[in-house]
Amino acid sequence: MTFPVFAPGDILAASDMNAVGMWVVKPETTFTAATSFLAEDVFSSDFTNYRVNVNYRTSGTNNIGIQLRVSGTNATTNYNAQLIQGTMNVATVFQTLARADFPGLLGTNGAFDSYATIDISKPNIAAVTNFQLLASRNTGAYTGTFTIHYIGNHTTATAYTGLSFLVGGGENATGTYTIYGYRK
Amino acid sequence: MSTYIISENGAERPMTEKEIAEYEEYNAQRIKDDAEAEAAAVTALEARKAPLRRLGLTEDEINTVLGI
Repeated sequence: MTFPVFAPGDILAASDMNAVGMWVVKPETTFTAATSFLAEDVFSSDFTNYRVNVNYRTSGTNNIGIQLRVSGTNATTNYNAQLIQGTMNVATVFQTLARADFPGLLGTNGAFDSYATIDISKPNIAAVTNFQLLASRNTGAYTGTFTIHYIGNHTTATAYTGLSFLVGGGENATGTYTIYGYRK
Repeated sequence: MSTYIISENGAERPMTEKEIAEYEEYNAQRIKDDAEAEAAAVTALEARKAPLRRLGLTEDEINTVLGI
């Protein structure tokens, strides 16, 4: 059998399966009008790096912050982030340090579907965790487009197993997310 | 007391009192974090504008030069 072309009746050999580059660790999951949404038990020693895909909209202008999580408790300190943002004809660079969250998913101010991909490096290793987020954000209108590129880190050396997404200001979010592990 | 909804692995439920307390603490902290970040951004912007002001450019001209 030659990966990735399979024929009916082929046996799935370990060598072929081990060549699969990404693995779903959290199938598409819905959140509806939620102030917060949790992805528990998604990080493990099986993978070093992860991809999170999020389709979302928020009820207001507040952003969705991200916190790492283990044993039912969120990590609430030691996040640093750098934003490169483009909107209309203007580029903005923005740094925010020693935060309570990785401030990744920016508000859509209503039913304007937006999309973000987040790569997370080493969340389950007791070391620094790095984030890279790229988002197509529509806010207030589909002509209200923003290019969002956030990078950042969390410096607490803890092995985390989950993610918590929190919408600010008591507002809420609706959408779906899927989490993948990258093959080591 | 506010009713906040939490979605846990795809199932929605009201937050517990403990979760509400944690969320409200988080929310207060992020307001503070965002305000500090905004202040830092204003300071950085002013630093970019300062040399242009010294050249005698008007505020409109400075904004045009900086693309804002």
